[in-house]
Amino acid sequence: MIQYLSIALMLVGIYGLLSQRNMIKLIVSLNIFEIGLNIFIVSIGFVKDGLAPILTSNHNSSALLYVDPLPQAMVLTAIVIGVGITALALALARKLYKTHGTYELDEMEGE
Amino acid sequence: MNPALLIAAPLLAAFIAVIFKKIDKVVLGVVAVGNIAYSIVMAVLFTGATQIAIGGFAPPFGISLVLDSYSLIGILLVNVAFGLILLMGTKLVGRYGIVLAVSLAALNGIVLTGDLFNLFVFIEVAAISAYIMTTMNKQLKHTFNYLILGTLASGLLLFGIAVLYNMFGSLNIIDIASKLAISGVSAGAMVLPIVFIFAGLSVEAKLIPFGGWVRGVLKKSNSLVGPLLVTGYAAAILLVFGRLTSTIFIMSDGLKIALTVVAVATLVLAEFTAFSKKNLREVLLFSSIAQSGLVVALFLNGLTVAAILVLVNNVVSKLVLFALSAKIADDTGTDKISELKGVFTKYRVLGVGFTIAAMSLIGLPMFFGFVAKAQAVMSLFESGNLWLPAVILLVSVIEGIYIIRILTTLWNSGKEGQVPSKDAQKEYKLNGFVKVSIVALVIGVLIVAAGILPITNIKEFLSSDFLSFITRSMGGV
Repeated sequence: MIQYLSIALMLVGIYGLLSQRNMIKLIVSLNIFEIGLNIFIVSIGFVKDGLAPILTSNHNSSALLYVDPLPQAMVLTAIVIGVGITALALALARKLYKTHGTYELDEMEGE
Repeated sequence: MNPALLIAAPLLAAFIAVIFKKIDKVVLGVVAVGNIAYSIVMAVLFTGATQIAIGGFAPPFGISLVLDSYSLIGILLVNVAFGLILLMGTKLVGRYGIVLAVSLAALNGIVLTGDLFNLFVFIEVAAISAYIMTTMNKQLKHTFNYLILGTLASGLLLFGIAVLYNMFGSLNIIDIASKLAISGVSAGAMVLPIVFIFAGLSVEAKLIPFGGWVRGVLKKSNSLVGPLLVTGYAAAILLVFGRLTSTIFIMSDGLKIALTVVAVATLVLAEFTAFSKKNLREVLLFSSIAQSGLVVALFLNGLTVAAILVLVNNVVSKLVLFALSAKIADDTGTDKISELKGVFTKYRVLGVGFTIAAMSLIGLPMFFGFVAKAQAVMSLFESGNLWLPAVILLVSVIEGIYIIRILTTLWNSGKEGQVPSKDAQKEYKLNGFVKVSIVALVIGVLIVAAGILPITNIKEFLSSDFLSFITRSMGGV
């Protein structure tokens, strides 16, 4: 179920990317898309009644039911990359705002 | 010989350059030369395909690098292209030394990696460096568009990879290929991941309609960024494409035709657009979009050797053409073909290098391009495909017309068909063109040499080792 929801979130993000021309709104849409994608990936590793994949004194057998840690590691990396790209996009938007005085892509002239 | 050094050394260089900002160009130069030398040594000492585990985790559990003749060609191509571009555009490096070092690491990683998620990370790192590098062109609005499109595409790529992980429980390309062979997953089930991965790679590979960013970002690019995006980046991404199509893309006939149509449409539309353009760099970038389409079409039809030959030809000749065009545009202030009449009558060596590269791009006999295109067309005929060779030959004619039109304008300052008078000669002034001329000439000699020598050796080297590696690893990793 959560996978359908996350795909719906991705579609919301893509809709925003297609319909908006404001740079900040585009960056927000991109982030919504990425969050949907990240939830989708985490949901792949979900196991019902699974434990956190950490060996502790209480759970120290590999025979126990753990959730898959790999998608979580993947999402962690994807989040970091996403933050980097958002920062770069915001820096570009700021620079464009300084030259053109607007965040609307359609109102910029000369490029 | 550990190929991981090719990735680690540029990364280390980038960190050193952050700390010691004053020596960043030196560090970058050393690491670029070192990478070329190291990849040549690896090619010479190459004994057989291997998978190198990273961090002590045996594949498929850990990340692995794949070193076979296919990735060797990739690293040679990427590193040599990067080194030459850096040599020709040293002055333009400026404050971008760190970004260039990171991009070199990422490009090597893209070619070498055997792990899908690692591939995503390297593509993202390469893309982020590309976004930053394109700000050099002062076309920030186009850079912003490129960033949005590129990030969306890598999101789609990651989605495709996640679906594949869900299906096979593995991220290792060879492991997935062997599981595919054993499990007998139907081609229908593979449609979803293949389509998403294809779309994700298509933005960087510049296929129409995903390559909408190219024109804005590259039409005013300088002799550093333009050649790098057109050659090094395109080569790395297209090689990944080939690696995936030959291992894990199990396609139904319908899907294969659909994707081939996208690639062929790119080829035809981009060649027609290039035909109609009046600026040197715009013509060249549409021509490279077309070549990407051709390479992808060949890969999709299973013609790995032909695709690699066409790719190598495109990288080598575009490297010269784009670097020279950007150089001329930087110094004369224009790259409008009609305003550059007779520029080569003064700079003959430059002109000879440009002409050889252009001839090779069209695929005239005596040049390497002929070998590549002949191989592509012949192997298509052998596989019983008749419409694709027809399209390739047709667009080659279009390509020939516009390239020769450019060459006659650039060599002849007067009217067509007449010897130009002395007065018609316009004065051009290029600064520091010696280095560029030498590079262009050396590449020109290599192109001619490779066009005359028989290619059977290259062909055997490529097909025997690369294919045997895949079939052998199918049996179990």
